[in-house]
Amino acid sequence: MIRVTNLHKRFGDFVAVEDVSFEVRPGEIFGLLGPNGAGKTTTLRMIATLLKPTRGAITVAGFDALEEPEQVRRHLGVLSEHTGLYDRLTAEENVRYFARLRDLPDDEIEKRMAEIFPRLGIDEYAHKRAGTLSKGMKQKVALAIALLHDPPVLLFDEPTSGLDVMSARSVRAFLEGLRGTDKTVLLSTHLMPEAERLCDRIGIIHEGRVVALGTVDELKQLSGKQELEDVFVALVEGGGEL
Amino acid sequence: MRRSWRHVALVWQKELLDTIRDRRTLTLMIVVPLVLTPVLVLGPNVLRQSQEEKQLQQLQTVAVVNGQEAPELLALLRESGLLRIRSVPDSDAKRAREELEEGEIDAVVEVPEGFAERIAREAEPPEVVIRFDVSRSQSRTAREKLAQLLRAYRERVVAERLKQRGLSPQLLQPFTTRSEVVQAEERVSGFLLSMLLPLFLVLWAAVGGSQTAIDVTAGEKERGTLESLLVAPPKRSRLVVGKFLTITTVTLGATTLSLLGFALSLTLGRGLFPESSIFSQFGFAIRPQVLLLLFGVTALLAALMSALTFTLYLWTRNFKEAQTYASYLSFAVMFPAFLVSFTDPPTTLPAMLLPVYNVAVVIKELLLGDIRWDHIGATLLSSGAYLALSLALAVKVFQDERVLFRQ
Repeated sequence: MIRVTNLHKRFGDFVAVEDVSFEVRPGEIFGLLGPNGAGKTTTLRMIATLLKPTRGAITVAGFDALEEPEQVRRHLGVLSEHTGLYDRLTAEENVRYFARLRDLPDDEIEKRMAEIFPRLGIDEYAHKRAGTLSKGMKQKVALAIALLHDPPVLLFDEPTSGLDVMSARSVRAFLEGLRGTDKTVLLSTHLMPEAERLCDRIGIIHEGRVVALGTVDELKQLSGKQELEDVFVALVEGGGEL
Repeated sequence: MRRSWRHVALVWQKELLDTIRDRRTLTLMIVVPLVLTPVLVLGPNVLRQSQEEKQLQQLQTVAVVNGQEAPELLALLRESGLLRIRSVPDSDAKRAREELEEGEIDAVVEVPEGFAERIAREAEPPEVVIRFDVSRSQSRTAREKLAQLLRAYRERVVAERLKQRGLSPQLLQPFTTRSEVVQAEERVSGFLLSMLLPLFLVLWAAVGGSQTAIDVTAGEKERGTLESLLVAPPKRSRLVVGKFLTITTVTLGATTLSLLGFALSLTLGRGLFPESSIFSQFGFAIRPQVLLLLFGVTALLAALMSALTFTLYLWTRNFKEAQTYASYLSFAVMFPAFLVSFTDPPTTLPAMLLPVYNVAVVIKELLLGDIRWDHIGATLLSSGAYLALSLALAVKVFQDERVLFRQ
């Protein structure tokens, strides 16, 4: 699971994240919903141990992100909108490289690739260099990298951003398939329908603060709005107040 | 293999594979040293030689003004077969000069009035003037040929005068001279190499791996792959060492290839231009011990520069900015390398602690067959210490989120 407690992050005078707290439980897809620049990516980067919080605490799969960052990374799978693939390596070489960095034995890597590649349709272009692939194909390879070591916790940062309709649809379908498994999933997005369709609970983040937290129905009920988009707009325009 | 070294090896292997597949790096590593160096070294010589040969074989046209005043000289010029001689009267002197200026003829020889008679009388030496156009190579060649033929004529006149007096021509040459070098063959052959190679090796050690250094740092930041790497479990220090070893490997590979290109150029040069003093003065009489020491100091410099460039380029925002810093860096290392190559550099202890400079001095000394263990020791120890500090700094910078996510 993920537990974030009173998280703060400053960059000089700029407060990117302020007093953010939430929990994501195993088997749950939790959405961090907010406009661009709200602090979603900074929060996810702190959970992924890429950034150090100015204040606050994070535990991932029982490990403290500040004390045991290597252990946290070992139990994490991360997918961001920048696919982060090496263009001159093939899709398969990319997957194998990151799996080896996670100390997966070669036979285990082959076994997992045989399972995951057909599910994501990577087989067809596994031997092609990543630089020649479309954004949608690259995102599927990046997804394979995030999943190959079967991590208990998954972070998805705007996973469908910049994808064509079909690719976005297949990534969403894959995420939907994670619901009900024992995975702890944290999804950051600015797309309301995506959040509504995929997330069990949502935290709306605005100007670095979580301004609302609950299931989609709870948020609608709380605000008296019928659509999540209306709830979101009301919160953003009201400066976090409904 | 321990896990930490397995991670280092993984990063190293992956980065090398990535580098080998990068056309820009391959071009810089292979095409430049193995193709461009021989072309640059041999090209001008091939051109010059073919031009010189052509000019020597060609007959330049020379107008001899007042040639009738020096029949013996005129005959000698004509019989030499080196020039096309046209004798013109004094009244045509102005026209001959105009023809020279217009490039219709290649030189004008002006013989003063009463030349032969004044020589016969042994009167005050008459002055022969050679007019030529310094901007035209044909004209310069004509002047060289004329100077040579006039010298031969003067020697003939002197010999005749001495003979008439019953004196030997050796009267004018009381002794001869001969110079012999006292140094070992290695030192002689290493002299020209000692001027060029420190510059060559230091520059390649500094810039040979720059493309890779930029690619694994600023390039990764720009492409967004660094973030993927940083969410992998290995400690940052292992990633740094893996990347550092990649840059060092590529730098050493590029330096070796550039040396091969240089050696190839000289070997080809000696074969193509056996008469050329430039190529014959370069030698390769280097003992294995010296070669080993040369490799050692160059490798250490390559490692030091790799660690420094890694840190510097990681700090930059993108590929373009890193390339700008790379050009500044090449200028910065060029200065000490030039100083050592073309002067007698100071070798005091403080001087021998200066990075880059000390390596260039040791390379120069080794090429001259001069193994100075105090200099080698100071260089190895100080460069080793700088390397350790640079690596520690690289790890620190690689952990600094302000640097990694600098926009």
